Amino acid sequence: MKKIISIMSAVLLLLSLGACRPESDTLVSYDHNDKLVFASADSSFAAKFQIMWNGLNQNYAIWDYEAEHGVDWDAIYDEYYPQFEALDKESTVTDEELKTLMQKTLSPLHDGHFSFDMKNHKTGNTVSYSPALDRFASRDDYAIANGFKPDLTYYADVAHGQVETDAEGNPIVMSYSTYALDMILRFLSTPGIGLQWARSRIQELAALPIRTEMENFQLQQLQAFYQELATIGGLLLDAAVTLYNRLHEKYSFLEIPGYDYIDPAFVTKGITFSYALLKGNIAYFHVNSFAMTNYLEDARTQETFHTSDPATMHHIQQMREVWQAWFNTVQQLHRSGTLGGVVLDVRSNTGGNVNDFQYFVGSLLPSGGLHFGYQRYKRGTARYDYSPMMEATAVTMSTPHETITEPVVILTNCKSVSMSEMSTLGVKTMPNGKVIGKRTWGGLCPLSDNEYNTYNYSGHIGEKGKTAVYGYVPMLGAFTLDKKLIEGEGITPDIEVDFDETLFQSTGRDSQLERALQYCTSGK
Amino acid sequence: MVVVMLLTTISAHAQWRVGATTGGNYNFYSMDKQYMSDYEIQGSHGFTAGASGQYNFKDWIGVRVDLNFTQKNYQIHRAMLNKWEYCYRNDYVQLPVMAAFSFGGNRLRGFCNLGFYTGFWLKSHLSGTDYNLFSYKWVNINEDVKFNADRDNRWDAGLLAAAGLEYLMGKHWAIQLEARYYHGLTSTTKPYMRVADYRYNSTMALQVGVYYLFK
Repeated sequence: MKKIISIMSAVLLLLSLGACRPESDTLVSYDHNDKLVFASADSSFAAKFQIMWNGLNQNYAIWDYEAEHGVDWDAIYDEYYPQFEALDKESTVTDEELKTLMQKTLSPLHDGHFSFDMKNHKTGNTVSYSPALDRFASRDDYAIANGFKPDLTYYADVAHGQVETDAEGNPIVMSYSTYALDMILRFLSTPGIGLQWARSRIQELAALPIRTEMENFQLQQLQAFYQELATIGGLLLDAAVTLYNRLHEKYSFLEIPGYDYIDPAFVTKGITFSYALLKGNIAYFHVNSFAMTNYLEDARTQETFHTSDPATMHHIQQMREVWQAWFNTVQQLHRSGTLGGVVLDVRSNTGGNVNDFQYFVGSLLPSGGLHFGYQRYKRGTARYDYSPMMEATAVTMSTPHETITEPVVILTNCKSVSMSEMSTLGVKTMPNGKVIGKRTWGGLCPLSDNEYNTYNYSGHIGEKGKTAVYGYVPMLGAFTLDKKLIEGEGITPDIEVDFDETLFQSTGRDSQLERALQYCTSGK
Repeated sequence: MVVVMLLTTISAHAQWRVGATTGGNYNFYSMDKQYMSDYEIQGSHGFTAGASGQYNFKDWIGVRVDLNFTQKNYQIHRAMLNKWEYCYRNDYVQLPVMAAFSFGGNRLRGFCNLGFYTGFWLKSHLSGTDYNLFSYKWVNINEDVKFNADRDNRWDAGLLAAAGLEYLMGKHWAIQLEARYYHGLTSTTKPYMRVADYRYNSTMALQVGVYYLFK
């Protein structure tokens, strides 16, 4: 009996102790416009903060890196949640006050793409903040990089002896832009076409002492067109294109020269290609934004643009000709053993489609893909739940082509971001590759649309323009080949060169480009 | 309570025994999946082996201390990505301390052990397949997991209960067949963030043991 009592006592003791397993907190997913999840954020700053803090705690992919940099995300909660709570007690909260608090909370984070929107329910405005923009503004080449566009005018002048020429003595330089703003500006300012033609025609018709009925009608319609078009300057680009196209249809009977339909896709997918064969058979290529695949692959062109419109197809064909000229020249010169080098320019290129790699750096590399780094995904809702490192592979050109062994230089500055940095890492893997210019932005962790959220149970927080809180959050951590994170720091060039603004303004010469040319010709 | 019982029952029936055990186990890993609705966290088999020492105060009660190597393995699969799997192999060294109760005849006896254990997480290994969405590639994984000092709680402790049969072969030798359950009370993750996230091992083992009885 004593034995049984002893055993039962021990069993009961163990059972009572065995109940001591506390439960985890309940978490929710912030990946879409869930009314229940986001409801309280519509009218509470404290709720907005909770969503921001918890969403990042669950989705952000580089918390260990942040911890190494001294970021204590829990301490940030303790410090700033009460301040957001205090805003709920205020009768008015300005956008500036909200932005200041967002800045204090988020500025320690290093991700180069990351940004946050909060709707200020007191004013009705959306307040946005991106820590990367603050870091960008602190760079020594910030002022130059902001708004920088490579300009080959000096080098394209045959008299300066910097460019190769064709059989007729013309410089081998090609450039084309499908940027919608450039198309509108061309329409508005080019003599003999578009608005300038209309203005001249109005003056011509108005000066006639006697006008026919048709001339009167044309004059009235041109004046009406001119008046309607006058508002275009004050509009955002997409609204300007809409107005432009509407008037194009309305006044098509006027047959204004150069008045072509502008595909609205050119608002966001408009880019610039520039190619020059510089002295010493150095093939230079610049792209201002990575949307090359939309132009170079028929299937993507069909998906992206109104290919039934002749003007649209003309633009696309012009772009293809520039890229093809560069690619063919590189291939032919390499085969003949006379290629001096390749200069790829991603200065102030803020990134884009990673599939463009195969038409850019990837067109100089063997087929089969390039292992350029490592990637790691969130694999759980806790802060440090990550996948193992997985090889990051970029697509290289699959059709037969030469692998380039001559010097390949990539030009970078502090506004070379994302896909520009992926391209830079690609050049760094090449034994004949060199990075010249200034340190890049530090935005290597890529993003995708939130339709991919459940692959990783991670991604954006909320929906832009719909939820009171929206976080543009990358889906993974991106590492270099030696498994280092350089988010918020960027890629250090092999040869650091400042852009000499004074030299450029006075002569049109590009100090960074010239250093690249020097490297190609001398190897130093 | 067990200590009090032990102190009051020391007698001439006191007896030492030492032995070795080996066997297999099945571990369940408990964690809150939250909204990761297609995650399937499944148990996995492992191995256990160790040494054991027991001091019997009377023929029906004693104290037993083991030192063993025990694996606490588990797997994660995904219902929507059926190639995806993570198989964790976790090696622990454990020190179970139990009150050992026995009953029955001279040759064949039943026993049950109740007590607690402490342990240390020696190593973690991950094998399986993951999907790199960015590169559109399935990736094979086979690597040791590097412990994160902020996150991973390498000290393990919990309760255990066991029952089994023992057969005495002659004066000095005995063999045991034992079913044992380890109920982890320490989470495998430290409270490194303000969000509570607890994860526990619960391990069932079936082991055989050989003992030498000092008489």
